[in-house]
Amino acid sequence: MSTRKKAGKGTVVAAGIVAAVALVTSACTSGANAGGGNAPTGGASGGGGTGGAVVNNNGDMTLAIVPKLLGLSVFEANVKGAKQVAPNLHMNVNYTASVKASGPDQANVITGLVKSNNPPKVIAYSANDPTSEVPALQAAKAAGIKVIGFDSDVTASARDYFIQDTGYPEMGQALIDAVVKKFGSSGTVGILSSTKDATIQNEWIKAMRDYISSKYPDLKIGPIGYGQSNQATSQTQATNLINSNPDLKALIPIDGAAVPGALAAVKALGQAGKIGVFGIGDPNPNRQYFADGSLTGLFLWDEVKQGQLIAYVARMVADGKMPASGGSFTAGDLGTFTVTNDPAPNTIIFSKPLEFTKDNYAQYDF
Amino acid sequence: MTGIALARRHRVPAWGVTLTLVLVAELFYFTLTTRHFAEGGKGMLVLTEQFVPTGILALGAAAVILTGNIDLSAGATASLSAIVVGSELQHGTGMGPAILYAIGIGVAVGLFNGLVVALLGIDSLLVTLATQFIATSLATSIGGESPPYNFSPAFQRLGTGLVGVIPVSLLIFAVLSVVVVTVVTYTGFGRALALIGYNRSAAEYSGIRARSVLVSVFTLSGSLAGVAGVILAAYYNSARDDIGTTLLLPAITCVVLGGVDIFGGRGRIGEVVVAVFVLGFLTQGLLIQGRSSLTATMITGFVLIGALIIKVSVERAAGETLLAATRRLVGQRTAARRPLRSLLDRE
Repeated sequence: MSTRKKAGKGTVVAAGIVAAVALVTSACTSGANAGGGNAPTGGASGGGGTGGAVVNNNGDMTLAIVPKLLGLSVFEANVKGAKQVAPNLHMNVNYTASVKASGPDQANVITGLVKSNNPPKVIAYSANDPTSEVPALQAAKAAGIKVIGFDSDVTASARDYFIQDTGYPEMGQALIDAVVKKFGSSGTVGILSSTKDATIQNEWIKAMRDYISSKYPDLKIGPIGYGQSNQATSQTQATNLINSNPDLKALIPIDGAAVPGALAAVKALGQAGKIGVFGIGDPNPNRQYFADGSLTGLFLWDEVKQGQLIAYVARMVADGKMPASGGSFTAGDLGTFTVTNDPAPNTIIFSKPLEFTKDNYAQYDF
Repeated sequence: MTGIALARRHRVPAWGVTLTLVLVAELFYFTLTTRHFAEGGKGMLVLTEQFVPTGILALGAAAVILTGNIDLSAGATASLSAIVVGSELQHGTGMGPAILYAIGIGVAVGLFNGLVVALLGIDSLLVTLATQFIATSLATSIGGESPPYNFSPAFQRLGTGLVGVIPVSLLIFAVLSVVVVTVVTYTGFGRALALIGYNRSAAEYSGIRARSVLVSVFTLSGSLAGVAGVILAAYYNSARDDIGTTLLLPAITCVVLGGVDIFGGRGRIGEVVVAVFVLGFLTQGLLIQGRSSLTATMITGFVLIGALIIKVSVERAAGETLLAATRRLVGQRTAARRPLRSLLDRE
């Protein structure tokens, strides 16, 4: 084996070691450069401050928004809203999250923020699950960082305030009322949720059940399908629901990925128009179904305005001006909001459900 | 058979040395650039809490991969174990029994994998793919609509407690590492693992009972996954059906970066342990620097590919390990080293 060996191989080895070190070093160095780039960005949006000003000075603050994962259009809309009002609030918005929708990964990202050289003043999260992020958020609070939640909450003790998208009973009512208006108050509806332990989805299901049992006793909720927040799985589950319930009047997909999945299933089975689809989701992935009429009702809330509210609340929390439960506050153009202890301590309910229709969906971009 | 393993055992582990140097460089770099990374060594130690479960899975994965098999169910088994320990604790079971049940579930899944692979001769990729689904579904159904959370402080200590400045979970990992490294390096069982991976027929002809070794190694992987699940539940103070599943690929990444041949037959568990720290600190350090998790994931990918390219090209060109090649180079230049060189040439 080693009879045909000359210095050439040695060079390969040496080059290998050098390359290994160089790779790691350059990876890290580029990281440092990018890191250096972050602070000036922050300073710049502070608006014509002194050159090279340090972040967090003169009332400037950083708000880190950590949604469930990167690249979801609803969260991008939140960030867009926060950035719209940030300059007026002397605020830099740092949007960061994990690549996967995973609680432990999100906890890692939060821990990274807490320990970074320039920790944010406020962290706003939308939690992947109610518990995994709790230790990291508690560490943030211990380090003096204010913590607010939006969209999906954790245990209340781990955060200061929570901005709930919309009242759960209101959303349940809006969906059921829409079904009854179009298809009458008897028959079976099928629900397509995300996962079995999804907190908000379970609240909506409960709200629908409560409303039906008190107002439309002839309406029946059939078995619930779980699409695992995946469009293809949602379509399979929707197909199963339709096939196993011949008297199904409407499908109610209550998850962003479930809506297009349910619509695809209804269309593939040739049931468009016969089986209604009333969902909770964002308009962008469903534009074609508005146009062809198979989407009979879609509800959500204004994600951009919600992002603005996140920024307002962050500023007030950082200044120590947020009222305790029972008090109310004004958030710029958005109007007045009340802090309540229902359904969880220190909760701010953002808005009533917003219905997207054939006529208004084009105004929203998320 | 012992001859082969002995020669390898007493050589200085070149890849391990390289990895250690990378680790030291990495720690220096992050300490210098990031204020809260080291915190007098304490911060650095606490950071290990976040990747110890991955490391424990990697120990089991490495042993299985040495035999030329793979255990895709390890992550899901950890999830199942976490859910079991969590549910038991919430139903008022004592801490000791609850942990034993959880590890017992891990042992059971591992034993099942091992028996099916060894006795029915079905490829481990298929078997463990199937048990992964079974374990995940079981975890989901036991967890139900509100998976267990909020455990006693005594239990949480397993995940977040400290002994002095050293995290409890790091101590557990250290003990498990020493045990697994010792068993794999210094016992007949360990040598059998590598020989089965290198050439199963040869191993059987030389008197190794390959089937029982395979059953044991899968059981080992399952029980380590069980331990990882318990620590995960304690660290997050909650258990979910995907809590361990996401750790499978990082664990296999550590094994590969640790220089274990993915087709089996070659590799050292000790180097896998170093690789766990290299990758773990790299990810945590980048996040603390303010890199997004996107960047951290990407850099991890590049480091892995770079390391593998270097390792493979060096070994292919030289037909020997990195350090042996380096020593030979030194030997060519230093006439006095001739005896060492001739010794190496013999191999």
